[in-house]
Amino acid sequence: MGAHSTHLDVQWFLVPKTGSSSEECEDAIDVLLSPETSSLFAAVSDGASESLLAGAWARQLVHGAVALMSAADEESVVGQDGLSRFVVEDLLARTVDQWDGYLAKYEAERIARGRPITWYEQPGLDKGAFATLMAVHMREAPADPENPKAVRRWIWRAFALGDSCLFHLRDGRLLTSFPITDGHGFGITPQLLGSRNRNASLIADRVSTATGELRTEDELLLATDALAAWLLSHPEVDSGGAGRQLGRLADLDQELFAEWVQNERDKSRMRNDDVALVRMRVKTEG
Amino acid sequence: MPYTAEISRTNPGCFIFLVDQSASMSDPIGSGEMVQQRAQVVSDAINRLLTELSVKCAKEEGVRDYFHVAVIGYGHTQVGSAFTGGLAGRDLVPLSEIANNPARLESRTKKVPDGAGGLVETTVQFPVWMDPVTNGGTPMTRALGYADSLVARWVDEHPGGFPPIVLNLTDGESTDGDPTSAAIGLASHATADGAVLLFNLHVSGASGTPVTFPDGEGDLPDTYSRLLFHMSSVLPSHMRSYAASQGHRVSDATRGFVYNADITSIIEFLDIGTRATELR
Repeated sequence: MGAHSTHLDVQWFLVPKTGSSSEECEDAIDVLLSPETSSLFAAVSDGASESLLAGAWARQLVHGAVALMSAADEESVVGQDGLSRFVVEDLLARTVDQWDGYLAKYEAERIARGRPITWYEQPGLDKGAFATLMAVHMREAPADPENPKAVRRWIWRAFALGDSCLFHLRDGRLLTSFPITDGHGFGITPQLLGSRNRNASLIADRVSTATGELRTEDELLLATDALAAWLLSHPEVDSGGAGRQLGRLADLDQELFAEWVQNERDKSRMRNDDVALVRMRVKTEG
Repeated sequence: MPYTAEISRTNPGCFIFLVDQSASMSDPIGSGEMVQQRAQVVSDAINRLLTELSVKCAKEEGVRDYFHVAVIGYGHTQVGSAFTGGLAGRDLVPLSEIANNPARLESRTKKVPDGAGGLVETTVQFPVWMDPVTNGGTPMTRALGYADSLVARWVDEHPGGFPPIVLNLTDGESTDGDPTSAAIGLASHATADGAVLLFNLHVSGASGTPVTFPDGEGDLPDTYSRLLFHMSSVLPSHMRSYAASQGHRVSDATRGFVYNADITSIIEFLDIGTRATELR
């Protein structure tokens, strides 16, 4: 029997809602693999359509969350009691505290282009942008010193605000769905993180967290609400049909994945909304 | 299920406001310090609604055309566009053009919280697209016929979209005949998502309690109010839910009708009657 090695495998997809261009997509993804590939950090965010600069805010949130998790690395930001106020303050420093600077640059750039901010944009900019956030850190568990040759384990730790979801699949079957557990959990007023919200205690209270252990070939998916609702509303989700279908789709390229999404929308099986998907696996080779 | 079509730039919504500009609209509404001319209150309410719609549909670098809007006046001299300024004479106008073409921006004072439990006056920009006009009779039948021609073209061009919503704001009886058959004709146009919605608001005389969103004739005082009630469409479920969330008692039979409206219920009528399904 030859030697086996494991590595982390990740794909991600962004598909704008029908009628919008890719520049108008308000879902965002960030993924970072640590240099020694022992850790994977990923986040998705869904910018609220009714706020201005929601896409830019969603991108700021995913970059901030990934930077926060990778800076902590072995010291996971998700503790036994959830996300501490200290961690939330760090997240706000990387996101909310940067927003005014981003806005000032945006407004200056609009003036430079001869298109200054108008009376109908100002109230929305004053109110701030809003988005969901789902972030996960996946890492190899430390080797057992008493049994160094044992199969290595992988741990994931996630935190979420709003209705973007994480799914843990084994052989296509759903083991964990977080934070929404059934297809009826998607309303039109999910919890959102605002670009002007500096209330770390309130956010720490509202963030939910989850952890789990991955086996080789298990899959972790991060998805924004339209795709997450599609998966959870499939009757065969428990037997693995819908999960396996998503896994096969994640092996496709962006164009084919976008075609499949469009087809589901056309058949009214998926809501017409931006779609973000990240698929992560521990793969064995050798 | 009817009245669930998504509203998007490819499937926009359509609002048609019919505004009574007869002479009696110069009469007062309100009491004490709040007395204003009815026509002024109605035009302020519509200007405010157009402002809110523009802000709601604003995205980076422009307003998205989720809606096309017409404001039609009816009075002594004519039935036609009530827009002034750059949009004068236009019927249905995409929202982005409305947002970019107010006739003027007025500076108005507004009281806002001062952060210490009190109120402080501040100046806000108030865009104006229509001015109060008061003259002559109330040709409501012609106005409904005018809306009919706009609606007929719209449903032809948007057969799968959310059906047009017509909001009629008046303070008196029709002076060009019984408007019932014109109203029935108007509401007989339909898209695959449902029939055209016609909502009616009667502006208050000097006294009387408003009757808001009734589900039967019981509380209505006279033949005229019952006629307007029967001309009004039943509220679709998302508007009914919204009305309930605003404290109104509603049932499956609740109609888009307000009788003896005061200033507050004019604003509520426009808010509930233009409540959209989710924008995409």
